[in-house]
Amino acid sequence: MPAIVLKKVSKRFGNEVIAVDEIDLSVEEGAFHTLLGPSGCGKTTTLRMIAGLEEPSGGTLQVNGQVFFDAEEHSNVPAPERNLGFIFQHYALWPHFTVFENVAFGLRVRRASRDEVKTRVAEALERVQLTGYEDRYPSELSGGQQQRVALARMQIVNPAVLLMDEPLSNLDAKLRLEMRSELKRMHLETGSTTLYVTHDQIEAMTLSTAVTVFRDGKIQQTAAPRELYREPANLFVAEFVGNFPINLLDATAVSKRGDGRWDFTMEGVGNQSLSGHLQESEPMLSPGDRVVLGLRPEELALVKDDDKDYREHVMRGRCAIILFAGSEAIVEVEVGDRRMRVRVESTFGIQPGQQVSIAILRMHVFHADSTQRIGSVNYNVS
Amino acid sequence: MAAPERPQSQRMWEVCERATGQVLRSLRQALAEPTTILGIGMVLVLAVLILVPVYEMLAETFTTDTGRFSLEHWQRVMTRQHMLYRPLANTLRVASVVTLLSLAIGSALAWLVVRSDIPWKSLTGKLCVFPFMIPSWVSGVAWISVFRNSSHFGGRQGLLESVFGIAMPPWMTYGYVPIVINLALHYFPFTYILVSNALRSLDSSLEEAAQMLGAGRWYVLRRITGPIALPAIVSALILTFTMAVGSFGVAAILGPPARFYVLSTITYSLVRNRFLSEAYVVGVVVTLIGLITIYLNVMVMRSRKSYATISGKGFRRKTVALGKLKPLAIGFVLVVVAMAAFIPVGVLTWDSFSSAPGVYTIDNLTTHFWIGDSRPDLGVVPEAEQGILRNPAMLRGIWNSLRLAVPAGLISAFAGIVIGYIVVKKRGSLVSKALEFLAFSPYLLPKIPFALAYLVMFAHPRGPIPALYGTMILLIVICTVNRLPFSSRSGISGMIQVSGELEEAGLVLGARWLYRFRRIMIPLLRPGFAAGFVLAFISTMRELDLIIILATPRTTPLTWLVFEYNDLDVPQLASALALTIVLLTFAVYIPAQRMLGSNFLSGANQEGS
Repeated sequence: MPAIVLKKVSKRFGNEVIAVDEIDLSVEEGAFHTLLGPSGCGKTTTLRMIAGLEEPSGGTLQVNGQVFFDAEEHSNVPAPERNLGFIFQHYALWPHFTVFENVAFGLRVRRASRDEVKTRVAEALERVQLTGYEDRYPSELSGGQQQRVALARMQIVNPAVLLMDEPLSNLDAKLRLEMRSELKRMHLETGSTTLYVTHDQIEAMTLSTAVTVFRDGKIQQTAAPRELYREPANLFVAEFVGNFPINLLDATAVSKRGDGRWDFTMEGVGNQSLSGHLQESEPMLSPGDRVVLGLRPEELALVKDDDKDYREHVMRGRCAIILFAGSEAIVEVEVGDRRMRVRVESTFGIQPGQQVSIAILRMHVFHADSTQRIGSVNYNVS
Repeated sequence: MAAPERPQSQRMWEVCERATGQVLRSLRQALAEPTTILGIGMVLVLAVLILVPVYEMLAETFTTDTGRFSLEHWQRVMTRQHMLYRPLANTLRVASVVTLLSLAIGSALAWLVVRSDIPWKSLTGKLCVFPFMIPSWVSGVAWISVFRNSSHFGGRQGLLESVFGIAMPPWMTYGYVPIVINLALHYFPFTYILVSNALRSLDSSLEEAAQMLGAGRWYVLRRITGPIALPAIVSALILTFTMAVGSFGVAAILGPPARFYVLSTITYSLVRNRFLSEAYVVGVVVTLIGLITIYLNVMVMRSRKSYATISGKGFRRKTVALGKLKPLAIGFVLVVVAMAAFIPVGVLTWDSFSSAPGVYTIDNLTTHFWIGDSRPDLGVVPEAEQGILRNPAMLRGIWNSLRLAVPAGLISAFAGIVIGYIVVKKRGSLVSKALEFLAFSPYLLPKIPFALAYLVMFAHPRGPIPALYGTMILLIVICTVNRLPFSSRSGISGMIQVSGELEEAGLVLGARWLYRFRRIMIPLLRPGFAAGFVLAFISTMRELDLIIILATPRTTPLTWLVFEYNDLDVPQLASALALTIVLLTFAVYIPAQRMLGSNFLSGANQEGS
């Protein structure tokens, strides 16, 4: 049974701004579910509506079977009564309380006895490895420590669901990596349903069991990270997910051959064409359709001209720039009047200005008009 | 191992030589850089203008007429109930209740404007600082007009009695209650400004975090919002208390008819009755109370942490829906602002056009007191005087006000920038610290005692300084010095912003000091200078406390005339003159607000009158 269910939930600010537009979302029990999208896409508003910090303009909202909001019946459970955990982007630690008082707050609200407060705060601080910091003020802690206080404060009341609003965006790169594995470990240990908001696709991919991509208040795709990456539902998702910006080429689906292969002629790359099997059994495609081909830099390779394995799906161009990054490098190749990015593990002596050949390993095909995914082509290298 | 022995004298000589060389070198360095010299000069000037007068006043309290040391003045003051104890008790009674009232009103308004969904926020916010523009004693003059009672105090009817037939009890007309109400209505904008700034910088997520942990609205207010706004409330408390202890105008207008004296008014009355030494003693006592509260402020501020929570990114401020309470909240704002500003101005306007005071009928209206001719045939009655716009004495008052406020405004704004430059450039040095402290110190001195100290200091020539008493220069000097805490603070913060990388960028490009100052510093500091000038101008235009003791017939500004005509019970002239002050203030304030942005008032939030 899903832990969180949203049906046709929307949020309007004033009369014109639609922050969230009739979304349906369900989060499985025990999932680490991430809402991913650029800033202003409605993901944080969605999280805050679930928390009860923002009242939806319409729809229904349930957590663990309990209706928190129903526009039809005018029911709205106020935030303090929802018993959900929330981590704020800037942690929202109270500056006038010590670490101990911050963590103890939830218990004090519930009128726990003095002894209980003491032992449970001690336990909570031990779990986040902050024993000994009880009397510090938040301003005397590092960013990572503040983050852990916020976690301890949230967990002490055993919330039904954990909601996190970009909790790592304020940390420096190294700490962010540490806290990422910390969060993952915590999730594996406790198994609490977690709804996590971020604009960082790497964070979403590494942490989540499921990801929902948002854009302009609408859901683009909900899928497991692997599926999201392998089969992006539309151009936006393809561009948003992935370590390197995807190469996009306008093309036309020319014809379907007898063996089921499709021929595509590409624009701007000097009349080069490609053909291949779409994996989907009945792709929504007819000859003459305008399409966009998505080529991930890591799904391309630089090959020698005479490499027979790649002869069918090779584009020829000129190496323009090499961006070396240690374990890998991005080579920008001029193909016709386009630039293609190719990720390579080694530049094996390529120099800018040299003629190179790009082999395509995998290709995503989208409708040009609707931007929806049609399918993908795998070029099996034998 | 010990160094090879050398004759003692030779070693001494070397040490001396080294030391002298060092002194000479640093002297040369100091002279090469004008800021040090400038700084030392400023420190000396300010010492003469602030420390010496206060010291002289203190010394005077221990000196007999023949110049011997004696405790007789202190003894006399201490043994007379009416000179010290009763006014002291009254002062504390007034100050504490005024403080509580203005804290309550100011905090409530701040919360409404910042955190609730009260409509027309920007207008409401402007209305909340509006009473600041009206001098408190002007409201006092209007108060009498409204609350007069024909069976007490001279027998004329007030507005309430004349129009509504409500005879107010005498304690509502003069004395403790009206003084407290008028001061509170004048001082709440300071709390409003301080607390609304604190609330503005409070990230809503701090409150939301508490909600998520199950805390209800009142619990959040009590445990989170309140404590975080507390430092602002505490400084508003101490600021208001200090101002209320030192305040003069309202108590001088509303107190004496009911024989109600506070320390500042008893000081003034002692001066008028030529008990100068006794006045100095009371002045010293008022100063001490001021110093104690400021000291408490420092202690409180030091023991608490500052909760500045401003964080640029992701900062949220959510408003609380007032729901059914909304009309009540709007009503509260309107009543407060009406009582503090609109009713007083309205009443003054009516009064200034009234033929007979206290009569509220249309046929009683006349323009005589604005533009009428003199009527010697009427004898010695108010109606015999010319309207203020034709009366040379009144026009001279306007002229005096302007020739006082314009130079005082310009000099204090300029001095603020120079002090800011020296303090920032010489950061950490003794000169910088001394200058910063001296420029701030007038803040610690209540105005009436400070004016008294100037009376002691400048009644006679001292060394190269001539006897300035009776000249406009003295008034300009004291008003300028009084503004220094505010102008220097904004000068310092302005300099910190400009003098760092922006000036260094010019330096790297090879610009000389003067060129940098002219092309980088001055243009960048111009808005700050303009704001400093406007604020100093406005506060000097309506300055009464500093002037009341020091003005002489040749130098009387408008404020002094209002005070006199109120004393002489000519409400029409007092009202017309008071309105003139308000109008002149607005004539400068409104264009300044257009040019400098609506928030420039809050930049200089801590000032009273």
